[in-house]
Amino acid sequence: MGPEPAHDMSRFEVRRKRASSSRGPQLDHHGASGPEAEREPCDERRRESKSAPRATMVRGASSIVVEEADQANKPVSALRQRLYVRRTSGVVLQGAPDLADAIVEALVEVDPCAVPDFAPQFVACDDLSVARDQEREHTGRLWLKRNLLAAAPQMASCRSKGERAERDGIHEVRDGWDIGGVPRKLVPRGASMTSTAVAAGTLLSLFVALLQVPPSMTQPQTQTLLPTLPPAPIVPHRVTVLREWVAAVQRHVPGEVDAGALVPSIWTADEVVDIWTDAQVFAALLNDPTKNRFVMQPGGRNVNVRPDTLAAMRELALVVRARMPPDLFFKRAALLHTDVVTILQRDEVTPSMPASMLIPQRLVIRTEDGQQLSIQSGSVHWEFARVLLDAVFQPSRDEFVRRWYRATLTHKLAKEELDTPHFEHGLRHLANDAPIQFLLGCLHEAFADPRALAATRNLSLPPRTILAFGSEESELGEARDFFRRALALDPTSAETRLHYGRVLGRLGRHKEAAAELRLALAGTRDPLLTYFAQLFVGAEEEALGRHSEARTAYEEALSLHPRAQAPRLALSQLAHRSGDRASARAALARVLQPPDKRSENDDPWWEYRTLAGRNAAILMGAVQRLVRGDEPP
Amino acid sequence: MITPRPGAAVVFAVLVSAATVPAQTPTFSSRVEAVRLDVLVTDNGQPVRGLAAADFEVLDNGVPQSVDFVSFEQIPLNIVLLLDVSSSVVGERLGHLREASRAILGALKKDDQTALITFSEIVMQDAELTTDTKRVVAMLDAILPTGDTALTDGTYAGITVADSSNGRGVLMVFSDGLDTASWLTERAVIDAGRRSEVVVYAVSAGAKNPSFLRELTTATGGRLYEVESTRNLRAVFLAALEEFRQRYLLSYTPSGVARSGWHKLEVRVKGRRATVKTRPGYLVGS
Repeated sequence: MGPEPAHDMSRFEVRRKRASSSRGPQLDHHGASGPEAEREPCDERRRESKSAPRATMVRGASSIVVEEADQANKPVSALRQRLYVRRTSGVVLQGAPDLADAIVEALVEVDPCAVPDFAPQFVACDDLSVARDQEREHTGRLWLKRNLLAAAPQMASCRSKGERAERDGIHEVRDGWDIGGVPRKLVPRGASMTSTAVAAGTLLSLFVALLQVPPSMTQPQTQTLLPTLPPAPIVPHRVTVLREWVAAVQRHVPGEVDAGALVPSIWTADEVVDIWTDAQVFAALLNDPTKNRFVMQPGGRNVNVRPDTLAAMRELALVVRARMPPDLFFKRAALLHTDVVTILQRDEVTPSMPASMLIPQRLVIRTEDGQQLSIQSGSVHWEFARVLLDAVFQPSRDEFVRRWYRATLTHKLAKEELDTPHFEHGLRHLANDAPIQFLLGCLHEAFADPRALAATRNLSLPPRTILAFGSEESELGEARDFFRRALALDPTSAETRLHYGRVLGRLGRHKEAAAELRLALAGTRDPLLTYFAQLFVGAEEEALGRHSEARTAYEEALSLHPRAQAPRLALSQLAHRSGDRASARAALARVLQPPDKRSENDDPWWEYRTLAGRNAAILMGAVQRLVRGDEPP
Repeated sequence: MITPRPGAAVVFAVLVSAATVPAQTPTFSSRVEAVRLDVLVTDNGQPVRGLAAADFEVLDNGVPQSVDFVSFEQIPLNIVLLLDVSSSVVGERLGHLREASRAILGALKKDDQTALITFSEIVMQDAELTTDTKRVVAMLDAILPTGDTALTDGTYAGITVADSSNGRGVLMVFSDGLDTASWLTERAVIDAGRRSEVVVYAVSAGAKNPSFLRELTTATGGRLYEVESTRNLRAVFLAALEEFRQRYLLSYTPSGVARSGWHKLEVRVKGRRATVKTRPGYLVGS
């Protein structure tokens, strides 16, 4: 055992005690020395105010007692706020699972409302259907526990030289941490400190900060000797952020909501500005560790990196290169950011990203039924993914890159995310890929859809913001050209031909449209594609004045979906044109039937605009499996 | 005598359909042979009353026609309410819409009938033509806005319902947006309006350039009211109904003109200066 450090030590030992009073469990600080003393009950320091939050600590084995901090300390709410914005890389101590669970349970007992604040992403993700109260609490606990457990392997290397760490993980935090900050030293009792332990100590330090034990309570009284540790090197914060990102990339399991995915999802705006540049520098170093000059996007600007920062990045790049090929890292990173937006739904940021030439500027405009709902800054995760895949060796020839663009463009069509830059970036790499050409065609067809047209007519944009879209006719023209190119690359695609025919019809080229649609009909057995093809053939035959053929096609469509509204409307309108009012009304009978006499209408026509995105989940899963190793790259 | 109320105009598509008429009421020629027109005659903005068949001059594709019958206030109305219940029609807006619709129902006369059709992306007839306004009110109260706006499809359904009966029908359309979900094209539905005898009044609340409703109401001799807010929707609805009640129903059997195709109409009042509002023509066939 080494000598006591000269500086004051704030030492905390935690154990969970079953709450025996309405005030909840308590943490009492004590200064006992030695293992035996640790097992003795500790003196408790109680705070005066019962209504105010307060915390005391008790030393003890296998238990954590948590109590709210008192008013003399920083209010719990302030810490909660800090906790919200802090990254969590997880802390696992020896014997961690029990301790982690105990910490979580203790938090729940004292202030269940605080637990969701540890899991902000779950709280924010309404799509995860996180209900209030118990379910939020439960989810928060699971999240917290998952994070703690996820870091377990990092701490596994912490071993005592001569002492065996106690099962409940009694730990000591030395002076040097600030509330809400990262501890400089986090020492498992009896264990030697490693940089990994320091990095992994964040959550515990935050937890400890929540306890808000005042400095006066800290007494360097323990006589348990710990190894003397050298002062930690001062690392620029941005390098820390970069390291955490690298760790997240390596740790994240594609398709999973895990600690790795949460790391980039809670970057602050300033951190985004830094990491955007640093990740590109890092990617360049990963490909060539000797590089000294760097060119950044957007704009192709040159960037000078401080020597100490560059040295740290270079060292990190060498470490990563030793573990995995650079291309694999880029792909894993791309999937990490993809999951942040697709699974965690972190495509918008609040507050807005700073206006800066250093990072891509993107607005996300949400509309519904042609009305603008919101306009917010977009996150940079899609841009991250693209710029990292740009660093892959010959991305145009890389199968992962191909599949990733196919999957993500399909995903965006499924969500009606008309993200032109993303589509165009895919086209830049994969102009000779039939599905990519097809998906671009669908993008422009979507811009010509009435819903998009109505929305673009009603948009209210911030000053100096330009939304690039054409007229209905020009967008249909673009769509036609992309579909034509797709068919040139793959003439067998019935789905492409279906969209091509539809677009030709909307452009008034009814004879060509009818021919293409009949080819599409002949080339598919898919009931959904057949339904659309019949419906569209009917429309083209009607436009050509061939009402009998039109009627036949509409009736075929109706036979595939008897509850569908579109074919009935079409048949009715056809009868009305010929002056047959009775038949027109009869064809509409089911549509007009009062609601208590029929079930809800069901018409695939309403989903035509997202038809091309129906296989997004399958495609995304296949891309994830490529990296997970389930499929050969 | 019904005095038109001042204020904002609410455009309703008025679908005139025949109600059960007493024996002494003039009967119409069959739909195939006769053309019926709803005509509003005003002089300095005030409705002109007391006109007879001999007071009207009707030109069909420039060929003078003989007016068989003129009716005023004698034929009960069949009013089809066509209401937008897409996701944007919520809160205060929905409340105003219900209130305005109830006002219309409250202004109906004993033999008047009404039907309710709603549309989001789904078009649904919530109540068939009935004199039981309480039933229609109950369906109004049960409206749950959700989904997109199939204005074009809904309007076609309203025209079809209105066109299904003889008599005087009004199609009153309310929408707060542009079409985002219909299968039918605007051209097809406007042509359906031209082929029918429906008069369409429409209220567009907040939509920029509601060209479809503008063209349809013009084609049917009705009126489009564009409002920014639905606060005065009740007054607008009632004003449209009042305007329609001031219309004459003219009937004539076309002669000297080809049957199929577009028929341009001109209607004048003989011997006096008056403004005549009616549909600009009608379409037979495609």
